[in-house]
This record gives sequence, structure tokens and C-alpha cells, in this order.
Amino acid sequence: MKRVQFSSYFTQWFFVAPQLIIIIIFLYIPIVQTFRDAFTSQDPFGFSSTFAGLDNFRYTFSDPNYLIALKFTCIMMVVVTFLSMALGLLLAVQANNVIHGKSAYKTLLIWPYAIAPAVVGLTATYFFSERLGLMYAVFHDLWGFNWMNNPIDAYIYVFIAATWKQISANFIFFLAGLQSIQKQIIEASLIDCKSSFRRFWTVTFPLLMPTTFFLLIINITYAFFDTLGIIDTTTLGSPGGETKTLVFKSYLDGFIGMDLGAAGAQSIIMMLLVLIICVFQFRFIDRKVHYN
Amino acid sequence: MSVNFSQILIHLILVLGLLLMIIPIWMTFASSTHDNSTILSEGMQMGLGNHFIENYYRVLNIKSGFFEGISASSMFINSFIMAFGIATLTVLTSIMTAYAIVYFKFKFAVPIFWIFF
Repeated sequence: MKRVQFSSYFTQWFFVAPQLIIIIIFLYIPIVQTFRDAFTSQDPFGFSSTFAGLDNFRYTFSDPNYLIALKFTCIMMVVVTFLSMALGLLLAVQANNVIHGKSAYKTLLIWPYAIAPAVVGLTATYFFSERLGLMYAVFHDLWGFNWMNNPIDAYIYVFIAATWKQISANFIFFLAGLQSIQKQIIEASLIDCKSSFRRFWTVTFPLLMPTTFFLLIINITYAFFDTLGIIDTTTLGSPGGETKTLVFKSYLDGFIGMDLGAAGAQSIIMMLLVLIICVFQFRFIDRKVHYN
Repeated sequence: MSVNFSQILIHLILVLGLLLMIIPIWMTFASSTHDNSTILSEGMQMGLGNHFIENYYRVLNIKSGFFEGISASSMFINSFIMAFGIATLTVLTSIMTAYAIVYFKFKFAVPIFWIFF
């Protein structure tokens, strides 16, 4: 790659300046503020604060509500990621192999991607709420579905809403990844292996690993952070706080409960968790991904 | 004949996925064409009613909501301005920074990259 490099000193800072200013104002100063909040204990209106060491962290870890939220967030991350990626991959493979009507299927399967999480939650209440829900009566007769009392039913409710939105996002990325696989490789594998099922798992899927890795990060981020809109409009952490995610709990504590110290501590713990997950992914999984 | 069968299977799976994706959207749209009392008494509808024009006119033009202050068409305009502005500004600032990192002999190129990443 031929690169022309200029060496003037001031012009380069002029180019970088807008983004640097925006990032410092909107990202780094709030991070410093969060650290300050997490290590102090404040009165509810912010008039005074005293340094409190690790008290907020100690309080957070000994709070049973927090541990319940942690458990729910981890379960949601695994279930929603796995389900939405599996279904997205299934639909993408079928849409890649269909002969007639490819673009019609593509267009119609993408629509949920454009819907904001809060609206997804609202649509889910149209299905599952007791008064208006279409499926509520059906499920209630089948096994006594009652998401306000039974945590497993509430899990099902939230997982269906969260997965529904991500299936179309995964579908479009998997389809793009499948279409970028070269035809010669597929034709060569047709000679070697008769069973299309084995062909998929030994040839096509390893070639999809960059897309899968990218989607894994996107899905984990979604399950951690973007499901706030869904939970806020569907269950509000309903059966005794069983469906609160970490983000939702820190939102409730910080903005509605006005306990900025605990919310700050929870935010820092969340940041560390996501950092650990990303480092883990980059170290162990990125080695197996072959970029060409 | 076996090629035909596998194509039928593919179409079947795709149609099932399609139904899963589209039914909530269709139900929301179909319910929006009904009267308020119909929905309260019978639940969400799957068929089209005949209150389409009235409902959409009310939503788009009559100020309603929590403080009786805004109509949906104003919200549309707000969203459009925000989305357009945010997209444009994001692309502009990112292009400028990326250009600077690539085309200038930058002593702090790597730290700047990791700050933004």
C-alpha cells in the first residue's frame, strides 16, 4: 500500500481535534465522575459527599438483589446470544441456498432489525400481557403461564422479546458472510463430500468464523446493554426483581433511587465484566479465526 | 426430484422464519386500524378494521401524549433531524480522525487509536 505521509505538525492535531474533544467531554469526564461517585457516599440531592472507600463495592456484593441480577444477566447473555445466532444462521443458510425469491425473503426478514428495543418490548406486551395479550390466554391454559408470579415464565417472556429482535440482525450479517465465500471452495467441497450437512460444518462454517466472532461481540453487547429498553417496557424486573439485568438495576438505583454511589459501583463492575469478556474473546477465540 | 424436495424444505424453513418475524409487525399494524373499544374488549386483532384514516389522522395531527404537547408528525421530524445530524457528524469527525492517523507521521498514532477504540 503506497502511503503518502505528510509531516506538518499542526494540521494533524487540527484533524484529530473534533473527535478528541467530543470523546473527552462525553466519555472520559463522565468516567472520572463515575469513579468519583463510586468511591464516595452522597446524600440524595448531591449537596455533600464523604469519601467512603470500598464501602459501595462491599455493599453491592453483599446485596442479594445484585446477585440475582448478575445471575439473570449471565443467563440472558448465554441464552439470547445462542438462540438468536443459531436461528439467524439457519435462516441465512436457507436464504443463501434458495433459488426463487431471494430478495423478497431478504427484505421481509430484515424488518425487525430497524425496530428500537423499547418498541420491541411494547410489541411483546401485545402478545404477553394479561389483558391485551394474544398468546397470554393460550399459554395460560397450556401450563399456567403467569409471568408476574413465576420467574421462569418471566424469563421466557424477556428472552423471546430479546431474541426476536436480534435474529434479523444476525441473519443479515451471516448472509453477507455466506455470500463472500468463494464459489470455487464450495464447488471443490461438493466433490469431496456428499452430505450437505457435513459439508456445512467442516467447510462453510469455519470460513464464517470472522463473521461469527464479530456477531458474538455484537450480541453480547446487545444482551448486556441494549435490553434495557426491552425490560423497561415489559416486566420492569417484575417477579421480585428476578428479571432485572445489571444495567436495569443500576438505572433504577442511580436515577430513580438517587443512590449514585451504588450505581457508580455497579457501573464500574459492569465495565470490568465486559472488559474481561472482550479480553477473553480476543485472546482465545481470535486465534482460531482465519482472516484471509 | 430430490433437488425439488430440498428446495421445498428450504422454502418451508424460510416461510416459517418469515412468519415469526412478520406476525408481530402485522398484528401491530392490523390493530392500529381498529377502534379503541374493539381492542379493549376483544384483545389485539389480526384482521384489518375500518378506522385506518381516523386513527392515523388523530395520531399524526392532534397533539396528545403525556403533557398533551406534541403530535406524532412533530416527533417524526425530530427523529429525522436527530438521525440525520448524528449520522453526518459521526461520519465527518471519524473520517477526519482516520485521515489524520493514516496520512500523517504521527508520534501518538497508536495511543490516539486506542483512546478512540
